[in-house]
Amino acid sequence: MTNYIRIIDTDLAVHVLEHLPTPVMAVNREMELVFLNEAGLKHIGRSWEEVKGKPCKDILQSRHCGTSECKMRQVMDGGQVATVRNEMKINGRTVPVEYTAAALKDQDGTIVGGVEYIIDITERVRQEKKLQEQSKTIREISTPAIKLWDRMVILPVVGVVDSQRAQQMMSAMLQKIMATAAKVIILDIQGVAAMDTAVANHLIKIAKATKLMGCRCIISGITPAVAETLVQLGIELTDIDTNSTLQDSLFDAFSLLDLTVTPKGSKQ
Amino acid sequence: MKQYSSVSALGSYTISDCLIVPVAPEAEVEELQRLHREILELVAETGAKGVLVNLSSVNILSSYSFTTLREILRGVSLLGATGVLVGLRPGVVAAWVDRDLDFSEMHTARTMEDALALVTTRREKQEADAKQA
Repeated sequence: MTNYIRIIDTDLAVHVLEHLPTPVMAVNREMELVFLNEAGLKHIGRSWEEVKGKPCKDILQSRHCGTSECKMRQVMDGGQVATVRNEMKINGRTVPVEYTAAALKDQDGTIVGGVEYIIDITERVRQEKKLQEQSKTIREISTPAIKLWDRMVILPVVGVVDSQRAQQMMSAMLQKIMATAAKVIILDIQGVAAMDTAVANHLIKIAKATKLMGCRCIISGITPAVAETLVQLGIELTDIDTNSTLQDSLFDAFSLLDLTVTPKGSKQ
Repeated sequence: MKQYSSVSALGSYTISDCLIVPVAPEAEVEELQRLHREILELVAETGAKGVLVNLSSVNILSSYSFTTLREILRGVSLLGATGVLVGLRPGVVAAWVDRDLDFSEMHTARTMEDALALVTTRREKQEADAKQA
């Protein structure tokens, strides 16, 4: 390491460091600022004379400052070089950053301070948030509980049912039953890609939960293949009303609600 | 048959042959056990045909509470009345289902109206069965 510094022109090295577009900071063992490059000064909007020798926590005002989480403190105590996320306060504005801290050693290897560089990750955090929102939207789209009639809710299930999805379906459904005081819920599994023991168990769980909510659960859209699988797997759906078509389920649901559908003009 | 319209110490009262029992939001097992005793005494005393336990304000119910509630319903059924849990909240239901508790013999209803209707239909069915026998 020392060899390189001897070969490289020190003035040039400082010049390069000064013009690095990323804030680079060095502190001594007392956590007092001994170096901050131009990008760093620009970042906090102060001149070097103002900040020289000041404790770094007064200047950065980050969430880690003064806590045991401070990586600078950790590397100075012999910890590993690490990159972590943090938040800095600049002119009253909170900026998400990522910083990497390393110990500064002298020729004998004694730790004399620390150096760190800080990267502004505002854009990345924004992207992540967007992604989270999008996946939340997709999750919500995939578990729509629709009020079909007064006190009747339908939950169409399409695609793959894993335990996480089943959990979402369950909570979406229970909330909907609660909100609409539903008496009947139709679980349409026509679009379920594959039926196995796990999926069947999820469905049974959902049916049990609806019963506890004081609501009847009708499963519709059981295809011949699904019926065959269920029988072969030895799964009993005795407590649950099942139908092959949504139409039949709808009819059952109407009769449970003491309603009948008649053609217009016919006399009852 | 004696009609009990006065509200008891634990806040339960009788309407059209049904004992309505409210459960406080942060009810613990001890309170449910107190309720247990009172409910059975009141059912025996008033000859109520239904017991509607209103759980619509209870957010958390432990497995012990669940067992107590099941005992209440069993006791009520032994006295010839129908016990119904009314307005169970999603959180409670999800927790119970996750713990794989057995609630096959429990009657539940979403609203008080549904519960009353349930008690009435069961009573009519019982009477019809009795006539046939």
